[in-house]
Amino acid sequence: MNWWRRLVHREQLDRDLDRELQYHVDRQVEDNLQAGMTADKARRLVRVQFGGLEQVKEDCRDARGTRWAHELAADLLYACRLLVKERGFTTVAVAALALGIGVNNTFFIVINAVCLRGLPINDANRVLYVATRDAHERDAGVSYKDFRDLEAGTRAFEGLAAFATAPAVIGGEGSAPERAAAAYVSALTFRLLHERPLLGRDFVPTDDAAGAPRVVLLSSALWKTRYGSDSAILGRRIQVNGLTSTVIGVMRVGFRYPDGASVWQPLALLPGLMNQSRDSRALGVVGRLRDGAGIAEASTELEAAAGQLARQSPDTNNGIRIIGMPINDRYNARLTDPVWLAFMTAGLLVLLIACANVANLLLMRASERTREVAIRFSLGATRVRVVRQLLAESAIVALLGGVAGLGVSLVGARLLSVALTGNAPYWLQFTMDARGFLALAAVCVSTVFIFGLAPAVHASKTEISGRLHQAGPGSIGGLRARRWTSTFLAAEFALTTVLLAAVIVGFRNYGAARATEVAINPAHLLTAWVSLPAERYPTPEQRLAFYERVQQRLRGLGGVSSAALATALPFGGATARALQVEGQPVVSEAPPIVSTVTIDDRYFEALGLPLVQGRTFAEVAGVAKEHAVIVNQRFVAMYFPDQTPIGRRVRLGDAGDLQGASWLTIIGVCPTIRQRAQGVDSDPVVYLSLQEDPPAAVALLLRHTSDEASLPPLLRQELRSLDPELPLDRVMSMGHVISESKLGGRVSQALITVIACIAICLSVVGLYAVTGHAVVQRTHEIGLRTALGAQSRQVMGLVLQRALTQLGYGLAAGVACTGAWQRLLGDPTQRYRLTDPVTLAMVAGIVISVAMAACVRPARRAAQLDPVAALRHD
Amino acid sequence: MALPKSDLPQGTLDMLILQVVALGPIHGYAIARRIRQVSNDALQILQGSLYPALHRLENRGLLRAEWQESETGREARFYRLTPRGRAQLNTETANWTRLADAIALVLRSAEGGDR
Repeated sequence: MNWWRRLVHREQLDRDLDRELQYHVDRQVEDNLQAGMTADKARRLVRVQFGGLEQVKEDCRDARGTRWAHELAADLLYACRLLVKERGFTTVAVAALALGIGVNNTFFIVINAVCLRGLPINDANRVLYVATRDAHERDAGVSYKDFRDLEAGTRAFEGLAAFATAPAVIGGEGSAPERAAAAYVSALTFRLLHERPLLGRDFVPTDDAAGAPRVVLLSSALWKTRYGSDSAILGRRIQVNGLTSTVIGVMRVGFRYPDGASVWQPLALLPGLMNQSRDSRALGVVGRLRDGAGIAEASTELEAAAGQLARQSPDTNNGIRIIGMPINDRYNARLTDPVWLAFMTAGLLVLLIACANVANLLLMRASERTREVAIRFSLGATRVRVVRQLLAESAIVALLGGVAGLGVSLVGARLLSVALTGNAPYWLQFTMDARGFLALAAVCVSTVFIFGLAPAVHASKTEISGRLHQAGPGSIGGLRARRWTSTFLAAEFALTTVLLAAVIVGFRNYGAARATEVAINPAHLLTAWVSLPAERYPTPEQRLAFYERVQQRLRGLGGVSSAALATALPFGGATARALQVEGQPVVSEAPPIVSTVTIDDRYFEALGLPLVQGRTFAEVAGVAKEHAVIVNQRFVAMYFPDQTPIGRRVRLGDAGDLQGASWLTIIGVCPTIRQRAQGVDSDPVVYLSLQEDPPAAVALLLRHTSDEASLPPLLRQELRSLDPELPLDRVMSMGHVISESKLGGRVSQALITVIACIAICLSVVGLYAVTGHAVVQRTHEIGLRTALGAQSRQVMGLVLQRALTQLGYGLAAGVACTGAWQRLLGDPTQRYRLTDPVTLAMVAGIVISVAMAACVRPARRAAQLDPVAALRHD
Repeated sequence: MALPKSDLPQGTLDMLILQVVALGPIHGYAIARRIRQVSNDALQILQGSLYPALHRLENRGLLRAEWQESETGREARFYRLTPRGRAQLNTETANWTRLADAIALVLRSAEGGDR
């Protein structure tokens, strides 16, 4: 009979045991009688020989090895009954835990998606991402020529695949052209990723050759939205970047590698690919390890190949290292980043606060249950057994809290996904998976010990006689219990202090950032993007000519007062480049980095921000436009403090080759317009003329007098008359651009605010409960004091004093913790720190006032106690 | 698990029981009687430790028990060896013999050393 059946058929086994032993006893008695004993003596002898029949039975039951399970079941059943009976306690404890576990699990869901799960690639840890590092350890891709040599020179890979991404315009068949994320991939790419098209065929090497017929693969999403999941899509001819291409397949739902692509074309179709020089390192490269080959082997090969290339082409490849890393290392955020550490810590803090809260509830309950525990002891329960029984209650509370917390976290994760829709990489999914459930289970189990162990051990620790004596709640419910409670409460407030400080610092830094930026009037400012495919606008001259025509058309548009083009919108990021200022010492190792934005003549006019000093590109005479730049005030403050910047010259370029760049003359100074959405200080920005290097994509800015809705159709029409195959993309108001750029910051600030609110609520509820409980416990004492003449104010002081002491300890510990948080996880680039005295004063103010509010009611109740009734209270 | 309440070294009771049961299906009372008989009353095991030991052996899969009519006509719980039980008995007997031999050897050589 196996263990499980022994567990289930307990009654049957017990009956058998009784019968078996009875048989033995009867036979022994018979034998004794036959040996001539009296009936009495015969029986007594048997009893002596057995040494206690019940004990023997107990030993036999022990031999089954199922006792602990039965006891556990009994404990759990008892715990359930008790929790149902004490609904109030159960509700509060489960709610607190649900919040703690819920917040923690939401954060884990996010961390799991961002840092752990990685790309949805089959057997992803066998896929390496291959990249290069230059002598300055800067990250770059692989050039086409190097890629071909690597393909030939490595054995550790099943194969290597290269890709490049660029937005594409999908058009044709009379419907409006549409911009889509697109990738040029070498023929092996999908095979190496273990991906097969859902419909049609994969690329083959003959597709990926110069002069091959143009073919294209579509994502499921594009197939659905643009072609209505047309089953006759295969073989259809569509326009990609204005060139006729044949659709040969559709990829599966959710496959968007690389970079969320919707359209894939063979790498050979990338314009200019074959002529790219060896140092044009722009391709991404992935490879799948051959069976039996490891990362170390592949790395050695890549290193050797890099050495070989450096010997063959020293001009371009000297000092270039080639490295391979598991593909998910490339795309996963690093868990050790301060941002994620802070994130995890915050989640853990809320969980700990919730646990401390529940622990206090349990402690208070334990002090009311002394009599029950004492009776158990006196009936022979061991300490382990009592602790176990109390832990069983905690386990059920934790289980309920865990289930409710899972619900909370699913809602939280859903809200986050909605908030971040369209702003997160395609593979991020805030969902539970096996790892998520494992983590949740681990959290639930550990909470049992965090909040349950101390109260249980405490409850099991006093002598029986003492227990039975101090039966009533009016007696000294245990000085130790009070110490525990105070410690937990202080810990709660300490953790709350840290979280509140983080929130307040966040708001203050946000305010500080707002204060430094120039207000752009976003009303009546429409923005949109146009990008020119390299297939049809390969030369700068063609692009410039197109932009000039666009400018003319836009200015002629009714209701438009001013129109401009730029490579980046305000708050929309910028290109970072190395800077050298003429006449200032050169730091060739780490030159200063500035942001650059390429704009046309009317940019500042359209934004409604006149220059502070100097002239715009249009107004300047004497300097060739391509050698003129405008800088912002922040730039002037950083590089020309107390000097006039007009006429000074700067060079821009890559860190390595600033020397080769030509000198640019500063002709004007503009107000500081933010390019980065995050951070306190705006970047120094250098504005270049659009004519210097006409970009492949520009943003249009239109200051208009008409209403928001009527302009985009007009704009589209104008663009179509210029080039029917160009889509107008991301059409939105400037206000929308600004709010979207701040989304990430807003979401994280909202998150920490929510959890800080949860934290303070939990702490305050905890303080209220503990103080209220203390008043009940001290009823007798308070009655005595009142009877002896204590004023109600003195009584209130008595109650408040204890609360304040706990609060004081908590605040002090919390301040110490904020220091640690700032050191370990703080962002040093922010203006205000967590340890900033004003921040801490605000935190203390909030905590103390809220806590006092929580204590008022218990204190008043104490003050209004009727001394006669209180003295009779037992 | 409580120790067998007898003067026997630990594990010996189990071996004795296996040895007795090896002779054929037998109930608890008879096992106790047999052990007393074969050891010439030298080994008086308390019934208190016999039954827990039987149940332990049964739960470990060394013995199997079923209700059968006994010699008195009443139903009794009869134990018999399982194949695993037989194997266990063989190893334990072998171990025991080896140990006894070794002890005997040590005692002999100790006697010799005294001279």
